[in-house]
Amino acid sequence: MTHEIKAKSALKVIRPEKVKTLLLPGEVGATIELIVKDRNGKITDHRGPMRSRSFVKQFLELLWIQTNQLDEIGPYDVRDTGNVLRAICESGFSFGCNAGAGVVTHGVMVGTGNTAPTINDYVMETLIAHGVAAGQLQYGAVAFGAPASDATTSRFTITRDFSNGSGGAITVNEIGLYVMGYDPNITYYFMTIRDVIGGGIAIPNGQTLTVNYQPQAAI
Amino acid sequence: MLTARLTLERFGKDGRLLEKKEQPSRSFLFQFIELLYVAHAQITAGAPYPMQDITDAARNIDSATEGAGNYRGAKCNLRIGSPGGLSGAWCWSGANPASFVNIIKPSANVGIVVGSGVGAVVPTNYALGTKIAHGDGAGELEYGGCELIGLTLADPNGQFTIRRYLTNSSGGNVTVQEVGIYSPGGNGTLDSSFVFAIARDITGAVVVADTELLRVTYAIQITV
Repeated sequence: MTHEIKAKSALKVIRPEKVKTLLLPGEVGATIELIVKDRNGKITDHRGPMRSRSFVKQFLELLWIQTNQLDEIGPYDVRDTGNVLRAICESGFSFGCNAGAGVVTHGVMVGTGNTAPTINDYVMETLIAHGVAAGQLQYGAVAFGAPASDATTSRFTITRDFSNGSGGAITVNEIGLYVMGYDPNITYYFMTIRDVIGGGIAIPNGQTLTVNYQPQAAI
Repeated sequence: MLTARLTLERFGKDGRLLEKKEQPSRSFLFQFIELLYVAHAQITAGAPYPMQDITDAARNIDSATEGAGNYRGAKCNLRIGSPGGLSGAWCWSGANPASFVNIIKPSANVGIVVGSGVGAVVPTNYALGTKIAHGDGAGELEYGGCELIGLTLADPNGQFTIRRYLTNSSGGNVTVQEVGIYSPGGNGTLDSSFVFAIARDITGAVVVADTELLRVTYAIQITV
């Protein structure tokens, strides 16, 4: 049996003064907001915004590559989501996460693993696959909210919807971000953020989880 | 989270450390978040994103490259490493099929920069208050190269260091009150690169006498 979930991705404009500042002065990080809605758009669960704890090492390595402008003569080895070291150089593709619907190579990702993050994590512990079979979620396209700033904090938003047409409830315990990196000819994918959600967040059948990652800098 | 620690060290001409100031860097600016946005969203040349450069001009920036497989898809966005002084910093604009590389001169405009402004930092600062120019004239400092060194990763921390030496050959004192980081962004349509302020910190007065050397260090760290 095929289930179809009708849900539209949407970005809401939140006035900067309404956004809680969760970062301390001097921190660059991200916040996570999780919203579950039923098929009528009614919110059934809402968590956050809360601090994302966990830039993992691939974030720093890609930043190192890009800020250093490392070229193909002297690339830097970064472990991809397939657990293979890739010789990556600077490029216009670095950090790209603009994945389309159903694409699970990059963008915001969800999983069921609940082991605490470490800086060495390179992949989601147990990625939830795209689809409508048992235990699967339908990955929407990644959307972006343009940068904005208030008196203390600059931010932008990365959003993705996950619709549950699996026939049963699914609990998301981990959320991450996969981004692109480039050797001179091939795009590879790297995890830059991984967070575990305490207690997880359940998505009943027929409902949609929206994840808002908001990278930000506070002064 | 990512944090940074800012250190200013003043050395005599004999290499002796005369003064050391350390403080948390508080001040990654709006333009840093904007360059991260351009990268994450893969902003195209056809629909570029406008940013305010260090001259207070709006500049359209994108993630476009000259094409997959050509010149590694090179793009100068977020560059910090830089040669010193008046030499040029090559910056890949991402133009296709034009020259796709241009040169920012002086390269003292890429990487760590110092100034004499004392105005409070706000996220939308687009430049230092008053940048100290490269040179050996009155009120100037000679900018060495901006280096990135020491990437280390050991759970739960990862870090690297951004460093620049500045020499006072001006014949008089030069007072540093602010420090920042400048970084370029490219426009693939115009085949041009522009410079943006991505960090700015107020340091309090550090008086660098003639013949003395100033070492400025940002230690970037992530902690899980």
